[in-house]
Amino acid sequence: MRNVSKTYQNGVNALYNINLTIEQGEFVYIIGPTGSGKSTLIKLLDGEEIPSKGLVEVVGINIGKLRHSKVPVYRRNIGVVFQDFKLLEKKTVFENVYFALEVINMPKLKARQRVREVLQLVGLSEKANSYPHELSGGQQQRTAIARAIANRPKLLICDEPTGNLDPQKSNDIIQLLEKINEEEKTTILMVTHDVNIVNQFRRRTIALQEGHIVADLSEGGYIRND
Amino acid sequence: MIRRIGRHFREAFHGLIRHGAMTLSSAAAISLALLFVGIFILISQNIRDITYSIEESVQIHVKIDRNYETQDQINILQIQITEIPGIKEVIFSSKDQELDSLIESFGEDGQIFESYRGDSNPLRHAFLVDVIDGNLIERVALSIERIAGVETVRYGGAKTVELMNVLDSVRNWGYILVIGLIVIAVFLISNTIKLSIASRRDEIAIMRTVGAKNGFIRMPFLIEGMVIGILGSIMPIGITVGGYFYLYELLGGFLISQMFVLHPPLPLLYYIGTALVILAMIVGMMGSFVSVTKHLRWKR
Repeated sequence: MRNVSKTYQNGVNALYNINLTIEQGEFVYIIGPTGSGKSTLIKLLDGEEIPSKGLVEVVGINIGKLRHSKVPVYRRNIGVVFQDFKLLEKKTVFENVYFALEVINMPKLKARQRVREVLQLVGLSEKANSYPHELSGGQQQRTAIARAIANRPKLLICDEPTGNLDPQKSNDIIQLLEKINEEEKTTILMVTHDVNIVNQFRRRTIALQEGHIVADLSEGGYIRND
Repeated sequence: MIRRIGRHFREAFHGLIRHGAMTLSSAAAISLALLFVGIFILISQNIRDITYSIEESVQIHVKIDRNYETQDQINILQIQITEIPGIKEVIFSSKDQELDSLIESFGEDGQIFESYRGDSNPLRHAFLVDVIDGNLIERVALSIERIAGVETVRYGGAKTVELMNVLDSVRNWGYILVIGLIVIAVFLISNTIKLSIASRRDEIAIMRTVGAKNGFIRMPFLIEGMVIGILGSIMPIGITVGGYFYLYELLGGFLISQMFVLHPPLPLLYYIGTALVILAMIVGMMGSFVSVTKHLRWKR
Protein backbone atom coordinates (compact mmCIF):
# COMPACT_ATOMS: atom_id res chain seq x y z
CA MET A 1 0.00 0.00 0.00
CA ARG A 2 1.65 3.12 -1.23
CA ASN A 3 0.73 6.75 -1.28
CA VAL A 4 -2.76 6.66 0.08
CA SER A 5 -3.57 10.27 0.15
CA LYS A 6 -7.17 11.23 0.10
CA THR A 7 -9.28 14.26 0.38
CA TYR A 8 -12.95 13.67 0.44
CA GLN A 9 -16.24 14.76 1.69
CA ASN A 10 -19.07 12.31 1.89
CA GLY A 11 -22.70 13.09 2.40
CA VAL A 12 -24.05 13.94 5.84
CA ASN A 13 -21.65 12.48 8.35
CA ALA A 14 -18.58 12.98 6.32
CA LEU A 15 -14.87 12.80 6.39
CA TYR A 16 -13.37 16.20 5.81
CA ASN A 17 -10.18 16.62 3.88
CA ILE A 18 -8.39 13.57 5.13
CA ASN A 19 -4.78 13.23 4.10
CA LEU A 20 -3.20 9.97 5.04
CA THR A 21 -0.35 7.86 3.84
CA ILE A 22 0.33 4.38 5.10
CA GLU A 23 3.48 2.58 4.01
CA GLN A 24 3.72 -1.06 3.01
CA GLY A 25 4.26 -3.26 6.07
CA GLU A 26 2.90 -0.85 8.64
CA PHE A 27 0.52 -1.78 11.44
CA VAL A 28 -1.90 1.08 12.04
CA TYR A 29 -4.79 1.61 14.42
CA ILE A 30 -7.61 3.90 13.52
CA ILE A 31 -9.42 4.93 16.62
CA GLY A 32 -12.35 7.18 17.32
CA PRO A 33 -15.82 7.24 18.82
CA THR A 34 -18.92 6.08 17.00
CA GLY A 35 -19.79 8.36 14.12
CA SER A 36 -16.27 9.68 13.76
CA GLY A 37 -16.01 8.37 10.22
CA LYS A 38 -14.11 5.16 10.85
CA SER A 39 -16.54 2.99 8.94
CA THR A 40 -16.69 5.43 6.06
CA LEU A 41 -12.94 5.34 5.88
CA ILE A 42 -13.01 1.58 5.56
CA LYS A 43 -15.80 1.58 3.02
CA LEU A 44 -13.76 3.94 0.92
CA LEU A 45 -10.76 1.70 1.17
CA ASP A 46 -12.53 -1.51 0.22
CA GLY A 47 -14.45 0.08 -2.61
CA GLU A 48 -17.91 -0.05 -1.08
CA GLU A 49 -18.23 3.73 -1.20
CA ILE A 50 -16.93 6.26 -3.68
CA PRO A 51 -15.30 9.45 -2.38
CA SER A 52 -17.25 12.55 -3.29
CA LYS A 53 -14.02 14.47 -3.54
CA GLY A 54 -10.41 13.55 -3.65
CA LEU A 55 -8.47 10.43 -4.38
CA VAL A 56 -8.29 7.07 -2.67
CA GLU A 57 -5.43 5.00 -3.93
CA VAL A 58 -4.40 1.56 -2.71
CA VAL A 59 -1.59 -0.44 -4.30
CA GLY A 60 -1.63 2.04 -7.17
CA ILE A 61 -5.34 1.55 -7.93
CA ASN A 62 -7.69 4.52 -7.86
CA ILE A 63 -10.61 3.00 -6.01
CA GLY A 64 -13.08 5.79 -6.60
CA LYS A 65 -12.82 5.24 -10.34
CA LEU A 66 -13.44 1.48 -10.28
CA ARG A 67 -16.43 0.13 -12.15
CA HIS A 68 -18.88 -2.03 -10.22
CA SER A 69 -17.69 -5.16 -11.99
CA LYS A 70 -14.04 -4.38 -11.26
CA VAL A 71 -14.46 -3.89 -7.52
CA PRO A 72 -14.13 -7.61 -6.68
CA VAL A 73 -10.97 -7.82 -8.75
CA TYR A 74 -9.47 -4.95 -6.79
CA ARG A 75 -10.48 -6.65 -3.55
CA ARG A 76 -8.15 -9.51 -4.35
CA ASN A 77 -5.38 -7.14 -3.33
CA ILE A 78 -6.82 -6.55 0.09
CA GLY A 79 -8.29 -8.62 2.86
CA VAL A 80 -11.17 -7.41 4.95
CA VAL A 81 -12.19 -8.64 8.39
CA PHE A 82 -15.50 -7.50 9.81
CA GLN A 83 -16.89 -7.19 13.28
CA ASP A 84 -19.65 -9.66 12.41
CA PHE A 85 -17.24 -12.08 10.65
CA LYS A 86 -19.33 -12.41 7.44
CA LEU A 87 -18.63 -16.10 6.94
CA LEU A 88 -20.61 -18.26 4.54
CA GLU A 89 -22.82 -20.18 6.95
CA LYS A 90 -23.31 -23.18 4.69
CA LYS A 91 -19.63 -23.81 4.21
CA THR A 92 -17.13 -25.30 6.62
CA VAL A 93 -14.13 -23.39 7.92
CA PHE A 94 -11.98 -25.05 5.31
CA GLU A 95 -14.44 -24.26 2.49
CA ASN A 96 -14.81 -20.67 3.62
CA VAL A 97 -11.11 -20.08 3.30
CA TYR A 98 -10.88 -22.22 0.18
CA PHE A 99 -13.58 -20.15 -1.48
CA ALA A 100 -11.39 -17.03 -1.44
CA LEU A 101 -8.76 -18.93 -3.41
CA GLU A 102 -11.19 -20.70 -5.72
CA VAL A 103 -12.47 -17.31 -6.73
CA ILE A 104 -9.05 -16.13 -7.89
CA ASN A 105 -8.64 -19.32 -9.89
CA MET A 106 -5.80 -20.82 -7.89
CA PRO A 107 -5.07 -24.46 -8.85
CA LYS A 108 -6.76 -26.94 -6.54
CA LEU A 109 -3.72 -28.52 -4.92
CA LYS A 110 -1.99 -25.24 -4.34
CA ALA A 111 -5.16 -23.77 -2.89
CA ARG A 112 -5.71 -26.68 -0.52
CA GLN A 113 -2.16 -26.40 0.68
CA ARG A 114 -2.51 -22.69 1.23
CA VAL A 115 -5.74 -23.19 3.20
CA ARG A 116 -3.99 -25.63 5.52
CA GLU A 117 -1.14 -23.17 5.87
CA VAL A 118 -3.31 -20.24 6.93
CA LEU A 119 -5.48 -22.38 9.20
CA GLN A 120 -2.26 -23.44 10.88
CA LEU A 121 -1.24 -19.81 11.17
CA VAL A 122 -4.49 -18.80 12.87
CA GLY A 123 -4.48 -21.99 14.95
CA LEU A 124 -7.66 -23.57 13.60
CA SER A 125 -6.29 -26.65 11.89
CA GLU A 126 -8.34 -29.01 14.00
CA LYS A 127 -11.58 -27.08 13.32
CA ALA A 128 -11.27 -27.22 9.54
CA ASN A 129 -14.43 -29.27 9.06
CA SER A 130 -16.64 -27.39 11.48
CA TYR A 131 -19.37 -25.01 10.35
CA PRO A 132 -19.28 -21.39 11.52
CA HIS A 133 -22.21 -21.80 13.92
CA GLU A 134 -20.33 -24.55 15.71
CA LEU A 135 -17.48 -22.19 16.56
CA SER A 136 -16.95 -19.57 19.23
CA GLY A 137 -16.78 -15.92 18.25
CA GLY A 138 -13.03 -15.88 18.53
CA GLN A 139 -12.73 -18.93 16.34
CA GLN A 140 -15.08 -17.45 13.77
CA GLN A 141 -13.05 -14.28 13.71
CA ARG A 142 -9.87 -16.26 13.20
CA THR A 143 -11.55 -18.07 10.31
CA ALA A 144 -12.42 -14.72 8.81
CA ILE A 145 -8.82 -13.58 9.22
CA ALA A 146 -7.56 -16.78 7.62
CA ARG A 147 -9.89 -16.16 4.69
CA ALA A 148 -8.78 -12.54 4.40
CA ILE A 149 -5.08 -13.36 4.27
CA ALA A 150 -5.30 -16.57 2.24
CA ASN A 151 -4.45 -14.96 -1.09
CA ARG A 152 -1.58 -12.96 0.45
CA PRO A 153 -3.11 -9.51 0.23
CA LYS A 154 -0.85 -6.51 0.57
CA LEU A 155 -3.31 -4.85 2.91
CA LEU A 156 -5.50 -6.28 5.62
CA ILE A 157 -8.34 -4.07 6.79
CA CYS A 158 -9.90 -5.02 10.11
CA ASP A 159 -13.18 -3.35 10.99
CA GLU A 160 -13.60 -3.69 14.77
CA PRO A 161 -12.36 -7.28 14.70
CA THR A 162 -12.60 -7.49 18.47
CA GLY A 163 -15.95 -5.74 18.75
CA ASN A 164 -17.84 -8.92 19.59
CA LEU A 165 -15.17 -10.61 21.66
CA ASP A 166 -14.20 -10.62 25.33
CA PRO A 167 -10.83 -9.03 26.34
CA GLN A 168 -8.88 -12.31 26.44
CA LYS A 169 -10.08 -13.32 22.98
CA SER A 170 -9.41 -9.81 21.74
CA ASN A 171 -5.80 -10.01 22.88
CA ASP A 172 -5.42 -13.31 21.06
CA ILE A 173 -6.71 -11.73 17.88
CA ILE A 174 -4.34 -8.76 18.13
CA GLN A 175 -1.42 -11.07 18.74
CA LEU A 176 -2.47 -13.04 15.68
CA LEU A 177 -2.62 -9.86 13.60
CA GLU A 178 0.84 -8.85 14.78
CA LYS A 179 2.10 -12.27 13.82
CA ILE A 180 0.58 -11.88 10.35
CA ASN A 181 2.11 -8.43 10.06
CA GLU A 182 5.54 -9.89 10.79
CA GLU A 183 5.36 -13.22 9.00
CA GLU A 184 3.44 -12.26 5.88
CA LYS A 185 4.62 -8.63 5.72
CA THR A 186 1.01 -7.60 5.33
CA THR A 187 0.07 -3.99 5.99
CA ILE A 188 -2.56 -3.98 8.69
CA LEU A 189 -5.13 -1.29 9.19
CA MET A 190 -7.24 -1.92 12.24
CA VAL A 191 -10.25 0.13 13.19
CA THR A 192 -11.27 -0.04 16.80
CA HIS A 193 -12.73 1.96 19.59
CA ASP A 194 -11.11 -0.22 22.23
CA VAL A 195 -8.61 2.08 23.95
CA ASN A 196 -7.21 -0.76 26.05
CA ILE A 197 -5.95 -2.58 23.00
CA VAL A 198 -4.38 0.52 21.57
CA ASN A 199 -2.56 1.15 24.82
CA GLN A 200 -1.49 -2.41 25.34
CA PHE A 201 -0.16 -3.11 21.84
CA ARG A 202 1.41 0.17 20.88
CA ARG A 203 1.50 0.95 17.21
CA ARG A 204 1.02 3.94 15.00
CA THR A 205 -2.39 5.28 15.96
CA ILE A 206 -4.59 7.60 13.98
CA ALA A 207 -7.46 9.21 15.84
CA LEU A 208 -10.57 10.33 14.03
CA GLN A 209 -13.19 12.65 15.39
CA GLU A 210 -16.20 14.01 13.54
CA GLY A 211 -14.56 13.37 10.25
CA HIS A 212 -11.21 14.92 11.02
CA ILE A 213 -7.89 13.39 11.91
CA VAL A 214 -7.20 14.77 15.37
CA ALA A 215 -4.01 12.86 16.07
CA ASP A 216 -1.50 10.68 14.26
CA LEU A 217 0.96 9.25 16.76
CA SER A 218 3.64 7.00 15.39
CA GLU A 219 4.51 5.93 18.93
CA GLY A 220 0.95 4.93 19.68
CA GLY A 221 -0.42 4.99 23.16
CA TYR A 222 -2.78 7.11 25.16
CA ILE A 223 -5.60 8.66 23.33
CA ARG A 224 -7.88 10.81 25.32
CA ASN A 225 -11.35 9.39 24.93
CA ASP A 226 -14.04 11.98 25.39
CA MET B 1 -13.03 -21.23 -16.82
CA ILE B 2 -13.41 -24.81 -18.09
CA ARG B 3 -11.90 -26.08 -14.88
CA ARG B 4 -14.43 -24.18 -12.84
CA ILE B 5 -17.51 -25.16 -14.81
CA GLY B 6 -17.77 -28.30 -12.71
CA ARG B 7 -17.82 -26.16 -9.61
CA HIS B 8 -20.58 -23.98 -11.03
CA PHE B 9 -22.72 -27.01 -11.82
CA ARG B 10 -22.15 -28.40 -8.34
CA GLU B 11 -23.20 -25.11 -6.76
CA ALA B 12 -26.23 -24.89 -9.06
CA PHE B 13 -27.48 -28.33 -8.08
CA HIS B 14 -26.95 -27.61 -4.42
CA GLY B 15 -29.04 -24.49 -4.89
CA LEU B 16 -31.78 -26.35 -6.72
CA ILE B 17 -32.07 -28.94 -3.99
CA ARG B 18 -31.76 -26.45 -1.15
CA HIS B 19 -34.61 -24.40 -2.61
CA GLY B 20 -36.71 -27.33 -3.78
CA ALA B 21 -40.08 -25.60 -3.47
CA MET B 22 -38.83 -22.61 -5.42
CA THR B 23 -37.45 -24.91 -8.09
CA LEU B 24 -40.80 -26.63 -8.48
CA SER B 25 -42.91 -23.49 -8.59
CA SER B 26 -40.64 -21.83 -11.16
CA ALA B 27 -40.66 -24.98 -13.25
CA ALA B 28 -44.46 -25.02 -13.02
CA ALA B 29 -44.65 -21.45 -14.25
CA ILE B 30 -42.50 -22.32 -17.25
CA SER B 31 -44.50 -25.48 -17.85
CA LEU B 32 -47.77 -23.64 -18.07
CA ALA B 33 -46.48 -20.99 -20.44
CA LEU B 34 -44.76 -23.52 -22.66
CA LEU B 35 -47.81 -25.74 -22.80
CA PHE B 36 -49.70 -22.89 -24.42
CA VAL B 37 -46.78 -22.18 -26.71
CA GLY B 38 -46.66 -25.82 -27.81
CA ILE B 39 -50.39 -26.04 -28.44
CA PHE B 40 -50.31 -22.76 -30.28
CA ILE B 41 -47.50 -23.88 -32.58
CA LEU B 42 -49.52 -27.01 -33.45
CA ILE B 43 -52.68 -25.02 -34.13
CA SER B 44 -50.81 -22.40 -36.09
CA GLN B 45 -49.08 -25.00 -38.22
CA ASN B 46 -52.38 -26.67 -39.05
CA ILE B 47 -54.08 -23.37 -39.82
CA ARG B 48 -51.29 -22.62 -42.23
CA ASP B 49 -51.73 -25.96 -43.93
CA ILE B 50 -55.49 -25.56 -44.20
CA THR B 51 -55.30 -22.01 -45.50
CA TYR B 52 -52.78 -23.16 -48.03
CA SER B 53 -54.93 -26.00 -49.27
CA ILE B 54 -57.99 -23.75 -49.45
CA GLU B 55 -56.03 -21.17 -51.39
CA GLU B 56 -54.90 -23.88 -53.74
CA SER B 57 -58.45 -24.97 -54.43
CA VAL B 58 -59.99 -21.53 -54.86
CA GLN B 59 -60.30 -20.53 -58.50
CA ILE B 60 -62.09 -17.74 -60.34
CA HIS B 61 -64.33 -18.83 -63.18
CA VAL B 62 -64.76 -16.18 -65.88
CA LYS B 63 -67.42 -16.62 -68.57
CA ILE B 64 -66.82 -14.83 -71.85
CA ASP B 65 -69.60 -12.86 -73.52
CA ARG B 66 -71.07 -14.33 -76.75
CA ASN B 67 -69.99 -11.26 -78.71
CA TYR B 68 -66.32 -11.73 -77.87
CA GLU B 69 -65.74 -15.23 -79.21
CA THR B 70 -63.18 -14.67 -81.97
CA GLN B 71 -59.65 -15.88 -81.30
CA ASP B 72 -58.28 -12.31 -81.35
CA GLN B 73 -60.81 -11.09 -78.82
CA ILE B 74 -60.10 -14.05 -76.59
CA ASN B 75 -56.36 -13.36 -76.73
CA ILE B 76 -56.89 -9.72 -75.83
CA LEU B 77 -59.13 -10.69 -72.91
CA GLN B 78 -56.54 -13.15 -71.66
CA ILE B 79 -53.84 -10.48 -71.71
CA GLN B 80 -56.11 -7.99 -69.95
CA ILE B 81 -56.82 -10.46 -67.15
CA THR B 82 -53.20 -11.51 -66.81
CA GLU B 83 -52.21 -7.89 -66.30
CA ILE B 84 -54.30 -7.56 -63.12
CA PRO B 85 -51.95 -7.65 -60.08
CA GLY B 86 -52.14 -10.81 -57.94
CA ILE B 87 -52.84 -13.21 -60.80
CA LYS B 88 -50.93 -16.47 -60.76
CA GLU B 89 -52.25 -18.22 -63.83
CA VAL B 90 -54.96 -17.77 -66.47
CA ILE B 91 -56.09 -20.87 -68.33
CA PHE B 92 -58.47 -20.78 -71.29
CA SER B 93 -61.22 -23.32 -71.29
CA SER B 94 -63.26 -23.69 -74.52
CA LYS B 95 -66.96 -24.49 -74.71
CA ASP B 96 -66.10 -28.15 -75.30
CA GLN B 97 -63.83 -28.28 -72.30
CA GLU B 98 -66.46 -26.58 -70.21
CA LEU B 99 -68.95 -29.20 -71.25
CA ASP B 100 -66.46 -31.92 -70.39
CA SER B 101 -66.02 -30.62 -66.86
CA LEU B 102 -69.79 -30.17 -66.50
CA ILE B 103 -70.37 -33.76 -67.54
CA GLU B 104 -67.61 -34.89 -65.21
CA SER B 105 -69.08 -33.04 -62.26
CA PHE B 106 -72.40 -34.85 -62.69
CA GLY B 107 -70.70 -38.23 -62.83
CA GLU B 108 -72.82 -41.07 -64.22
CA ASP B 109 -75.80 -38.85 -64.95
CA GLY B 110 -73.64 -36.37 -66.85
CA GLN B 111 -73.98 -38.34 -70.06
CA ILE B 112 -77.35 -36.69 -70.83
CA PHE B 113 -75.48 -33.42 -71.53
CA GLU B 114 -73.57 -35.06 -74.41
CA SER B 115 -76.38 -34.05 -76.74
CA TYR B 116 -75.36 -30.40 -76.37
CA ARG B 117 -71.93 -31.01 -77.89
CA GLY B 118 -71.25 -29.11 -81.09
CA ASP B 119 -72.87 -25.91 -82.31
CA SER B 120 -75.83 -26.18 -80.00
CA ASN B 121 -73.53 -25.94 -76.96
CA PRO B 122 -75.18 -23.29 -74.74
CA LEU B 123 -72.10 -22.86 -72.59
CA ARG B 124 -69.62 -20.02 -72.92
CA HIS B 125 -65.89 -20.03 -73.41
CA ALA B 126 -64.23 -19.39 -70.08
CA PHE B 127 -61.01 -18.55 -68.24
CA LEU B 128 -59.92 -20.36 -65.10
CA VAL B 129 -57.99 -17.83 -63.01
CA ASP B 130 -55.70 -18.68 -60.08
CA VAL B 131 -54.61 -15.95 -57.69
CA ILE B 132 -51.39 -15.75 -55.71
CA ASP B 133 -53.08 -15.19 -52.35
CA GLY B 134 -56.56 -16.22 -51.33
CA ASN B 135 -57.12 -12.84 -49.75
CA LEU B 136 -56.89 -11.16 -53.14
CA ILE B 137 -59.62 -13.22 -54.69
CA GLU B 138 -62.44 -10.76 -54.11
CA ARG B 139 -60.56 -7.76 -55.47
CA VAL B 140 -59.29 -9.67 -58.50
CA ALA B 141 -62.80 -10.92 -59.27
CA LEU B 142 -64.15 -7.37 -59.21
CA SER B 143 -61.41 -6.16 -61.54
CA ILE B 144 -62.13 -8.93 -64.01
CA GLU B 145 -65.84 -8.13 -63.94
CA ARG B 146 -65.14 -4.62 -65.20
CA ILE B 147 -63.36 -5.82 -68.33
CA ALA B 148 -65.48 -5.50 -71.47
CA GLY B 149 -66.34 -8.91 -72.89
CA VAL B 150 -66.64 -10.62 -69.54
CA GLU B 151 -70.09 -11.97 -68.95
CA THR B 152 -69.98 -13.31 -65.41
CA VAL B 153 -67.36 -13.92 -62.74
CA ARG B 154 -67.79 -16.63 -60.16
CA TYR B 155 -65.49 -17.89 -57.43
CA GLY B 156 -65.46 -20.37 -54.54
CA GLY B 157 -67.73 -18.14 -52.54
CA ALA B 158 -67.40 -15.37 -50.02
CA LYS B 159 -67.68 -17.89 -47.20
CA THR B 160 -64.33 -19.44 -48.06
CA VAL B 161 -62.62 -16.09 -48.03
CA GLU B 162 -64.25 -15.23 -44.76
CA LEU B 163 -63.06 -18.48 -43.20
CA MET B 164 -59.55 -17.75 -44.35
CA ASN B 165 -59.65 -14.31 -42.81
CA VAL B 166 -60.88 -15.73 -39.51
CA LEU B 167 -58.11 -18.32 -39.46
CA ASP B 168 -55.56 -15.62 -40.22
CA SER B 169 -56.65 -13.45 -37.36
CA VAL B 170 -56.69 -16.46 -35.03
CA ARG B 171 -53.06 -16.96 -35.91
CA ASN B 172 -52.13 -13.33 -35.40
CA TRP B 173 -53.80 -13.15 -32.01
CA GLY B 174 -52.06 -16.39 -31.16
CA TYR B 175 -48.66 -14.79 -31.74
CA ILE B 176 -49.52 -11.95 -29.40
CA LEU B 177 -50.80 -14.41 -26.80
CA VAL B 178 -47.62 -16.46 -26.96
CA ILE B 179 -45.33 -13.47 -26.63
CA GLY B 180 -47.40 -12.30 -23.67
CA LEU B 181 -47.14 -15.71 -22.04
CA ILE B 182 -43.39 -15.80 -22.41
CA VAL B 183 -43.05 -12.37 -20.84
CA ILE B 184 -45.25 -13.48 -17.95
CA ALA B 185 -43.17 -16.65 -17.54
CA VAL B 186 -39.93 -14.66 -17.35
CA PHE B 187 -41.52 -12.39 -14.79
CA LEU B 188 -42.82 -15.27 -12.68
CA ILE B 189 -39.50 -17.03 -12.74
CA SER B 190 -37.44 -13.99 -11.93
CA ASN B 191 -39.83 -13.38 -9.07
CA THR B 192 -39.56 -16.85 -7.57
CA ILE B 193 -35.83 -16.96 -8.08
CA LYS B 194 -35.58 -13.51 -6.57
CA LEU B 195 -37.12 -14.82 -3.37
CA SER B 196 -34.48 -17.49 -3.07
CA ILE B 197 -31.71 -15.09 -3.96
CA ALA B 198 -32.93 -12.47 -1.50
CA SER B 199 -32.09 -14.88 1.27
CA ARG B 200 -28.66 -15.22 -0.27
CA ARG B 201 -28.02 -11.50 -0.63
CA ASP B 202 -25.46 -11.47 2.18
CA GLU B 203 -23.83 -14.46 0.62
CA ILE B 204 -23.49 -12.57 -2.66
CA ALA B 205 -22.07 -9.52 -0.86
CA ILE B 206 -19.54 -11.71 0.96
CA MET B 207 -18.51 -13.32 -2.31
CA ARG B 208 -17.80 -9.91 -3.75
CA THR B 209 -15.86 -8.94 -0.65
CA VAL B 210 -13.66 -11.97 -1.06
CA GLY B 211 -13.00 -11.08 -4.67
CA ALA B 212 -15.52 -13.10 -6.69
CA LYS B 213 -16.30 -11.46 -10.02
CA ASN B 214 -19.90 -10.89 -10.97
CA GLY B 215 -19.77 -13.56 -13.64
CA PHE B 216 -18.46 -16.07 -11.15
CA ILE B 217 -21.29 -15.36 -8.73
CA ARG B 218 -23.87 -15.33 -11.49
CA MET B 219 -22.86 -18.55 -13.18
CA PRO B 220 -24.40 -21.08 -10.75
CA PHE B 221 -27.64 -19.09 -10.73
CA LEU B 222 -27.78 -19.10 -14.52
CA ILE B 223 -27.27 -22.85 -14.54
CA GLU B 224 -30.00 -23.13 -11.94
CA GLY B 225 -32.35 -21.19 -14.20
CA MET B 226 -31.41 -23.35 -17.14
CA VAL B 227 -32.08 -26.56 -15.24
CA ILE B 228 -35.39 -25.17 -14.00
CA GLY B 229 -36.24 -24.45 -17.63
CA ILE B 230 -35.41 -28.00 -18.68
CA LEU B 231 -37.48 -29.40 -15.83
CA GLY B 232 -40.33 -27.12 -16.80
CA SER B 233 -40.24 -28.19 -20.43
CA ILE B 234 -40.75 -31.89 -19.72
CA MET B 235 -44.47 -31.65 -19.01
CA PRO B 236 -45.49 -29.46 -21.97
CA ILE B 237 -43.38 -31.49 -24.38
CA GLY B 238 -44.98 -34.68 -23.11
CA ILE B 239 -48.46 -33.25 -23.47
CA THR B 240 -48.06 -31.66 -26.90
CA VAL B 241 -46.20 -34.61 -28.41
CA GLY B 242 -48.35 -37.32 -26.83
CA GLY B 243 -51.55 -35.36 -27.31
CA TYR B 244 -50.98 -34.62 -30.96
CA PHE B 245 -50.02 -38.20 -31.77
CA TYR B 246 -53.17 -39.39 -30.04
CA LEU B 247 -55.37 -36.83 -31.76
CA TYR B 248 -53.87 -37.59 -35.14
CA GLU B 249 -54.49 -41.31 -34.71
CA LEU B 250 -57.99 -40.73 -33.35
CA LEU B 251 -59.09 -38.51 -36.24
CA GLY B 252 -57.22 -40.48 -38.87
CA GLY B 253 -55.29 -37.43 -40.03
CA PHE B 254 -58.34 -35.32 -40.98
CA LEU B 255 -60.32 -32.63 -39.31
CA ILE B 256 -64.08 -32.77 -40.09
CA SER B 257 -63.67 -33.43 -43.82
CA GLN B 258 -61.02 -34.41 -46.33
CA MET B 259 -60.50 -30.75 -47.02
CA PHE B 260 -58.79 -30.19 -43.68
CA VAL B 261 -55.77 -32.44 -43.67
CA LEU B 262 -53.86 -32.40 -40.36
CA HIS B 263 -50.15 -31.78 -40.45
CA PRO B 264 -48.26 -35.08 -40.12
CA PRO B 265 -46.85 -35.43 -36.54
CA LEU B 266 -43.28 -36.09 -37.65
CA PRO B 267 -40.96 -34.31 -38.03
CA LEU B 268 -43.07 -31.38 -36.76
CA LEU B 269 -43.06 -32.73 -33.20
CA TYR B 270 -39.26 -33.04 -33.18
CA TYR B 271 -39.02 -29.37 -34.04
CA ILE B 272 -41.56 -28.38 -31.42
CA GLY B 273 -39.79 -30.45 -28.76
CA THR B 274 -36.43 -28.87 -29.51
CA ALA B 275 -37.92 -25.40 -29.70
CA LEU B 276 -39.65 -25.81 -26.35
CA VAL B 277 -36.51 -27.03 -24.56
CA ILE B 278 -34.41 -24.20 -25.94
CA LEU B 279 -37.10 -21.65 -25.19
CA ALA B 280 -37.45 -22.99 -21.64
CA MET B 281 -33.70 -22.76 -21.02
CA ILE B 282 -33.55 -19.22 -22.32
CA VAL B 283 -36.56 -18.16 -20.29
CA GLY B 284 -35.11 -19.76 -17.15
CA MET B 285 -31.74 -18.13 -17.62
CA MET B 286 -33.26 -14.74 -18.30
CA GLY B 287 -35.29 -15.01 -15.13
CA SER B 288 -32.20 -15.81 -13.06
CA PHE B 289 -30.09 -13.20 -14.76
CA VAL B 290 -32.55 -10.43 -13.99
CA SER B 291 -32.78 -11.25 -10.31
CA VAL B 292 -29.09 -11.97 -9.65
CA THR B 293 -28.07 -8.75 -11.33
CA LYS B 294 -30.44 -6.88 -9.08
CA HIS B 295 -28.82 -8.36 -6.00
CA LEU B 296 -25.29 -7.92 -7.26
CA ARG B 297 -26.01 -4.21 -7.29
CA TRP B 298 -27.19 -4.26 -3.70
CA LYS B 299 -23.71 -3.52 -2.44
CA ARG B 300 -20.77 -2.26 -4.35
